Amino acid sequence: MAVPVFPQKLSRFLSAKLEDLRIRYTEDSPEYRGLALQYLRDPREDVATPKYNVKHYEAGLDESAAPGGLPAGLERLYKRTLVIEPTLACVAHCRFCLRQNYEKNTLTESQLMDVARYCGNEANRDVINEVLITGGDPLMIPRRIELLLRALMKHAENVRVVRIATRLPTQDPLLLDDDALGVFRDKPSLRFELATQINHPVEFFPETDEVLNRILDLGVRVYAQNVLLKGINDRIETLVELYDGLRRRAVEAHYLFHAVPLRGTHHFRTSLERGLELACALTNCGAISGRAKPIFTAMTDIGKVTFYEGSVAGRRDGEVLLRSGYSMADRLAWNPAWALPETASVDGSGKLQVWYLDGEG
Amino acid sequence: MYHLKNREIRASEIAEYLNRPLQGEDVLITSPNSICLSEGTVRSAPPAGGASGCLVLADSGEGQEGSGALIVVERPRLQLARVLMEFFASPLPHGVDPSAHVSPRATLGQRVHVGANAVIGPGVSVGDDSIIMDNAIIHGPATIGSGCVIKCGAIVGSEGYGFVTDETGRLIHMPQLGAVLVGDGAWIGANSTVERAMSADTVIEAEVKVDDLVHIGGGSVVGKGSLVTSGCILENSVRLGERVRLLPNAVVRSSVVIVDEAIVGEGAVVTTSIAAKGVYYGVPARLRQEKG
Repeated sequence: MAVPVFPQKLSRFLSAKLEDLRIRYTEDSPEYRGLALQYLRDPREDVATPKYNVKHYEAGLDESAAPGGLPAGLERLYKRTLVIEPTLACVAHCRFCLRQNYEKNTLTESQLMDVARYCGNEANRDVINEVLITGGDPLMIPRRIELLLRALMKHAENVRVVRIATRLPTQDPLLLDDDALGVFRDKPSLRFELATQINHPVEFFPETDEVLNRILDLGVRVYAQNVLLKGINDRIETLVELYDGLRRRAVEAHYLFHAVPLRGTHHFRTSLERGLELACALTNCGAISGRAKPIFTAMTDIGKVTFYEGSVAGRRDGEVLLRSGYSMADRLAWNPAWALPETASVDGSGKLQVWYLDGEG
Repeated sequence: MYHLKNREIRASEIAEYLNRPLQGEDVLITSPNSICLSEGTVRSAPPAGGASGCLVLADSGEGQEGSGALIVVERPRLQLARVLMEFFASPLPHGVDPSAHVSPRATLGQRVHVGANAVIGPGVSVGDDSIIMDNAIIHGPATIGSGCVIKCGAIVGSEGYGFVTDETGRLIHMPQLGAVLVGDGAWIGANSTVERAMSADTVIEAEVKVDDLVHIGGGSVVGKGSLVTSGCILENSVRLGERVRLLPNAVVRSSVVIVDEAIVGEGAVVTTSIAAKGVYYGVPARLRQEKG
């Protein structure tokens, strides 16, 4: 079956920045490649690999489990947090996008109202206290997000923390005008956190700095969930500069993800061993403050697995067995539709473990 | 109420927002002017320079090369409103303009906008998310619901036109002590007046949209969802049912009652109550067309 191509898409802002970098540094420079490889389509995306995933995990909810039906645009992998995807559209397409194979969809106003009511229904009222609004880029549609947030305040008072994931600060910061940032204002019952992703120091554009300052001034905590990407930031010097830069901008280091094994992204994936080596060097070399250290994590079929001693339990034919602290019983309690993926099993202590496709080099 | 926001957006991004496929070219939309409507027999004219640079939101049809972008959607006008609101419209900021006067005995809800030189008097309550625009005046007792719009220069709660002749033939003003109640989502147009009555309340129910230059006499009740267009006059104690439509310059005499969903045509003068829904025209207004 023909695999649909994830089209190349850049905002005009990014196109202008790329052109500027090309002129200033040349196309072979780490600066240009640090941005270009993230957004320009690469023939290596079309190289077939024997194993890959289409989604980073399956966490859709079971419609039959919700009385009166289930709203669209939800995922749930963790107990207290619900993932809401109001839109799967973005101003630019990251070539390693986790949701590149999802069907594009934008929730309507009435669907968003249903989501808010679902968050506050009897079954969820005492459990869910946090939502992650992601996509796509939710801040592309601030009016709908405002509507969702107001509805959450009205129908789901149990939701106290709202995380919004966006790459607009680096992809098109000018879209984050006063009007768009209004989503963070006048909602005293909600604590806002903004998750962004900055994978290379070249992305610290002046416009990015300016908008990050304005977001921070609104009392929003900003943190970075970055991805370790071969050819972009898989050098210790680049990572040190990146995490130093984030700290200077008051952006908290959160996860540094090992690139997810998705179709067409194998060329971005270092080996897990190399990732661990870099993470170890970054966090133990004394080059950056402990306040700026990220958590090296893999996004597996059963959710995130953060690396500690004993996390890697085995190896076979290009795959690594990762131990987690998740239990099957908890998973089913939070999401009865959840099925154990073929790659996962339950170990002797009742915890989930999963085979994870390794990268190369 | 919105200001125009500078924004550039691809037709394909609007298609994604509407969850519909884009036909034709992925044109760059730089202003609302570049979005046209085709709904039923109504077609808005393409902008200067022709259709090639524009996006058409249509209820049917197929895009052709060189004819710009086309998105087929249900209810194109409604979708256009959503697109404009999301991408091209910047709402008025919350807060009270320094030149406005808000009585310490008035209460304002959350996220209210009060424009320049507006006056909100004692005994007035304004609900959340309402917009009181420049030069609007609200005198109490008055309750404005949430999500209301009181446009520039509107006067809500002014004392009604009530006089009584004394023994010498002099006109004495009857104190107008009733309140004005404006329901959620109602809209009072620019330079319109909504008066208070002697004792009864003047009621503008939820989602009523009153156009500019309308007069609503004291003690009147305008039923939920009614549309009162420009130039209409409602004398005192009129009762409009729900979803009534008064077209421009219609006049409704005192104490007349109009049934739900009736339509009163342009310039009509309604002198007696209307008990059957239909379309009414003329002076005095008569039934022209029965409404199913």
